[in-house]
Amino acid sequence: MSTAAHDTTHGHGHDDHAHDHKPYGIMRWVGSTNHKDIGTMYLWFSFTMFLVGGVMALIIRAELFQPGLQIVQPEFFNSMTTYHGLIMVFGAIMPAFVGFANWLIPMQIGAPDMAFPRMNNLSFWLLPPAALLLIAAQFAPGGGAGVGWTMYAPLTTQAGPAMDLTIFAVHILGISSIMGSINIITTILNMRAPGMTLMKMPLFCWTWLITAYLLVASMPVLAGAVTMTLTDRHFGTNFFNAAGGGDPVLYQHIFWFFGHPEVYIIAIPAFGVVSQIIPAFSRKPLFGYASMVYATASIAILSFLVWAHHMYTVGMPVETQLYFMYATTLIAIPTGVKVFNWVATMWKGSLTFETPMLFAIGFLFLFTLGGFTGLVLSIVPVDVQLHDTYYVVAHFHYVMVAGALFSAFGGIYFWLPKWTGKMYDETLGKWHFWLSLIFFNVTFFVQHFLGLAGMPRRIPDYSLQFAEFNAISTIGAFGFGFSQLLFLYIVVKCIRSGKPAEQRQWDGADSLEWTHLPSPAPYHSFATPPVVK
Amino acid sequence: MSVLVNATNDTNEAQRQRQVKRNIRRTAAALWLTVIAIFVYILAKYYWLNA
Ligand code: HEM
Ligand SMILES: [Cu+2]
Repeated sequence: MSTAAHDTTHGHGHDDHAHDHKPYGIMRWVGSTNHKDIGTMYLWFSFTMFLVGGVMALIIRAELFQPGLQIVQPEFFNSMTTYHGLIMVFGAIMPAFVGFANWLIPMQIGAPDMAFPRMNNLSFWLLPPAALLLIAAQFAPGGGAGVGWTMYAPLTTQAGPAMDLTIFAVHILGISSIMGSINIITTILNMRAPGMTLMKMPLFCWTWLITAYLLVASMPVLAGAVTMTLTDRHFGTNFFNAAGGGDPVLYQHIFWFFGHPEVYIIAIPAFGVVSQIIPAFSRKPLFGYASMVYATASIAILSFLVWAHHMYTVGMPVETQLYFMYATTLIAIPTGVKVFNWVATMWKGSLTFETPMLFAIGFLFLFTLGGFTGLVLSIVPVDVQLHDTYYVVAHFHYVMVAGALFSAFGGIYFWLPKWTGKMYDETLGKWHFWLSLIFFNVTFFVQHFLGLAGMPRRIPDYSLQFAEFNAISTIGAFGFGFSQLLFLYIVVKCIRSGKPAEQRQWDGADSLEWTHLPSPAPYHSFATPPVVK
Repeated sequence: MSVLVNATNDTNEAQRQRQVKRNIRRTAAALWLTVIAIFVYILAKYYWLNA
């Protein structure tokens, strides 16, 4: 939490950013080195990818509406599950939170911009070509690679040319993430305003600092895994080829050594956003700030020690299973600390329930439910039954959609007034929340039952006893998808014709962007650092 | 690493700026080296394990 020295809440007379001239036209965006413009581009890119990945999800759900093959070929179905996952993880959710990071970190620590503005530009502009590669893969000879977002060997070593485009895309996305995280760490460690000690930073900055370290440590591992896949495919190596002395299960170990930290790369910035929203609408400081920092760091460290809970069924010694089971359940402790602190922040607060707070509370309930099913899955004998069923699909959509995505929605409603200087339509925002909440649960709650009953994931057809729940899930998915068009409308309406927002639109918000900067935040902020006590 | 140096300790502003810039370069260099080391380690380790 930042305690601002003097409060300039009233008035817009800010002299230190009088020169507010922006570059004009397309070059403002192509050559942008401004953290706010780059943040905006990240957020719009992310939303575009969210729609592309969403269409793929609806193709999957349309096929699964009834048993039997109705609409698409099985190969195409497999391609859709693959690219839906890749696009949502790397194209929608991760860039959304990098967008938040770009917009907010410099303002929240009182810095004029990111440490490396030109590298920042490159980080962003690597994304569109990578996205195009993933889309182009659909049109490669033989169609998209139906290998799953986890890209397991030996499927990947045997897949068609689409696989090469996909590997190239993952390489580019990885480089972009690495540059982004180096920028973030460097900025936070070196460019804080005088008096802004690490333990005074808003929790959002802390969560990104920790996430950026996770990225630096795990992205090169993913890059290694797909590089080995590439050399196995074309350059005669046998890393994952059993016939040549390699080991396909090795791929899974390497992938999940990246993959489990990756799920926290998605979750931890979401924690950060929620940790800004809940205190603001409780009108109380965040409960247990220091314990939040330590819990987040513990989660990050533990996330490197649990990867094989994704692979209980590959055949490993029972002692190994036992270790990974205990290590995984351990994560519930710091996660519990965080949930406790969010609830304790609300305790006896003067609560109001504007749209950002609704999404934060939705996050709180549903993310916790997803964490709980994660605990269920971490129990080896249970997971042997549930692995690769719809129960897993339900689990990770609770943490990634109702968790990370809801947090991102909440954050967008929360900061839109600061970003655009205008207010969104509160009534429509509430509609967006309730529609999303209801349709999300209609889509995914029933998938727990499907998984418990044994329906496998990534399958275009299924036996008759699963028909009802699948029909319900598909109806929910289309409802959820169309509700997001309402979100687009709300944002566009806000930008075009929203009522002017106040500097401190939310009276409980106390970080520097609210206390020191007008709404909209000026193009250049904190050219001279603010005084932070 | 000296990257956590509190930049307010210097009284001379120009010197402080130079210090911050130096720290920025050092932080970034350390991080790039980490990234490259991990990537090379992964490839090398399994390459020799297999060879
Ligand atoms: C208390 C915390 C958590 C625990 C104990 C946990 C546990 C697990 C386990 C054991 C699996 C493997 C299930 C199987 O394949 O049989 C799994 C899958 C998964 N989890 Fe979690 N999880 C937790 C939190 C999260 C979070 C925060 C995210 C992301 C934001 C996440 C995303 C995923 C994903 C994407 C998969 C499926 C990967 C795949 O096979 O495609 N989990 N989780
Ligand atoms: Cu995991």
